[in-house]
Amino acid sequence: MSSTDASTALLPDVQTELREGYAEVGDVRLHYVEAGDGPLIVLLHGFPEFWYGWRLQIAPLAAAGFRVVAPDLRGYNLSSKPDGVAAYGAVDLAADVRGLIQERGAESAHVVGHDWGGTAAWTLAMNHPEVVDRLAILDAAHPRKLNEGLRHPSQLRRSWYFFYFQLPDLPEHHVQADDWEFLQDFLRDAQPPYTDEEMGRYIEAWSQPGAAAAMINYYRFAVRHSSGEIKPIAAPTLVIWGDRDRYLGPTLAEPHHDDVPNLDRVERLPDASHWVHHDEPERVNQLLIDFFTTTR
Amino acid sequence: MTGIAPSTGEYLAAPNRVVSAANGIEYTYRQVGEGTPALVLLQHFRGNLDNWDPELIDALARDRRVVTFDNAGVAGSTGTTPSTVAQMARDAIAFIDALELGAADILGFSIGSFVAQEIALIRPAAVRRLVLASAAPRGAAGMHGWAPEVIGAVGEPEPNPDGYLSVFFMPSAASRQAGVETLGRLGARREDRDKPTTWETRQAQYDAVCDWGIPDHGQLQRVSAIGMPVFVAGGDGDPMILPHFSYLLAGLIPQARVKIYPDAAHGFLFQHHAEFARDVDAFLRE
Repeated sequence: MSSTDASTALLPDVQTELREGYAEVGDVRLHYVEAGDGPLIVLLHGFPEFWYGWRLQIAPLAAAGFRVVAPDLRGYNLSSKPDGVAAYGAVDLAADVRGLIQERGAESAHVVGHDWGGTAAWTLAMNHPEVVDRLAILDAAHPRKLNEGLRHPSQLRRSWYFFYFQLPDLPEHHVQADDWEFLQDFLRDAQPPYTDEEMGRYIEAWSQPGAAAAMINYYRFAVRHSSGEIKPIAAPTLVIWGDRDRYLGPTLAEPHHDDVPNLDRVERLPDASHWVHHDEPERVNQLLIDFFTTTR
Repeated sequence: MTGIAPSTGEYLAAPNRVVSAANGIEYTYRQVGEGTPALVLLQHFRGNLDNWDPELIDALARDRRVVTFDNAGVAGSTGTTPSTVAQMARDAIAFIDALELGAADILGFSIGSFVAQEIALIRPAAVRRLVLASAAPRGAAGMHGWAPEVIGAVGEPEPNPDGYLSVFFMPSAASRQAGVETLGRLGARREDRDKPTTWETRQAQYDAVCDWGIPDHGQLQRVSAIGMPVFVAGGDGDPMILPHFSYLLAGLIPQARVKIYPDAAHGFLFQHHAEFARDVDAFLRE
């Protein structure tokens, strides 16, 4: 179970054994990293991260008595990268996560999603409620809110890259230019800044063949298709939001009550950026542990 | 970032409007902001209402009414695109008359700056102040059609974003980044977009550009008749209309000042949208 990817010691000072594997789920193969034992928590990263985005969560959650699984979403890093835009809809992302939970031998899990991983998590809780115990969302708008937001000029202006990514071919070439400067810049408002070593890990993941196009295809699908049927979410839900998110405005945090009737609360971190799990890991970890231990 | 407060004009949400003019043309236009006089914008080669960077329009519209429109034959407007700048100016005057704008401020960009000069000469009473962006005077040597790499990049049957970036932005990382952000914003309006401009429009406009650029020193004298205050602005690396034409133009117009923006090309006004909007605002307030 050891591997070069996980064993590059993301957590040098923490004695947590990382297990790594691949899950065959439907027609894709998902790479994941796993740690700990206990009730299952699935951590779903966003754009342009990969499982490694959760490097500050995995050990603390495992130490709190959970089994933590952090996959690379389809298209990212070492997971399958199906061709074409049609493979990157939220419905397929959600089905991947359901399959992963089952493949890991669980009936259900606590699900945490950030950014695009949040979209996958919202959709999973709508389409496959039976596999979601509790839902935690970090800086990811509920699909209805995102739809509304993308019609509003002030949010549209923050989300210019949604539309830049609609252009054919140019974006996947451009994001690679100057040592992935475009994507590095995406991460640059994180506080503290990512270290060179961390940035190097991201560049390695972005450099996987086909990853850039796949990551961009998420946006192409989302803008070209409606978000699908929106159903009320039964799972108790916690939203954590960095109010200094430069991509998603603070008004996107609060879902409509009828869409998320069991919303526990929206916990706003006033000084955190979009990379809330990186900026304030201890706070985020404690919120997650408290929220997931309520039912145990 | 800049000190400019969040804008309220919201060009992305502005509906397409139509006005019928006395010349029989139905002009498609948008407007944001309030105030008199209005600022009327004249678009670049092959551009339509969606080719104005919404960030710039909103910044310009903070304290004034800003009107963008498709000239006759262009994109959503009816009629045929003429192949002379003089006729484009007459068509633009018909639009200004139809909206009953009185004496407006006019900002012309690229070929729109040619049209703006012509309006100021044909109908000086319609123009209070003039902003000429990426501009050149009629008859200047070196303006007879664009360099092969420029017309190759933006003159193809299917406009392509790579070509756009290569003419409107510089190769530097900062300018490129500004370019992709502009491209993103230009695509951000999802509903009620303007019609694309046609090949006929491209051909007619390029004929007009070449006609405007036939070298003729005598023609340079024309702009000395532009009597209102003029702000001439450009990018220091514009490959389409070289920076020295800005200086030439500003030198020929009695009441003109010039500003060249750094690390910028034809689209300097989108790249430096906040600074340019501040400069235009200050100029129009004088």
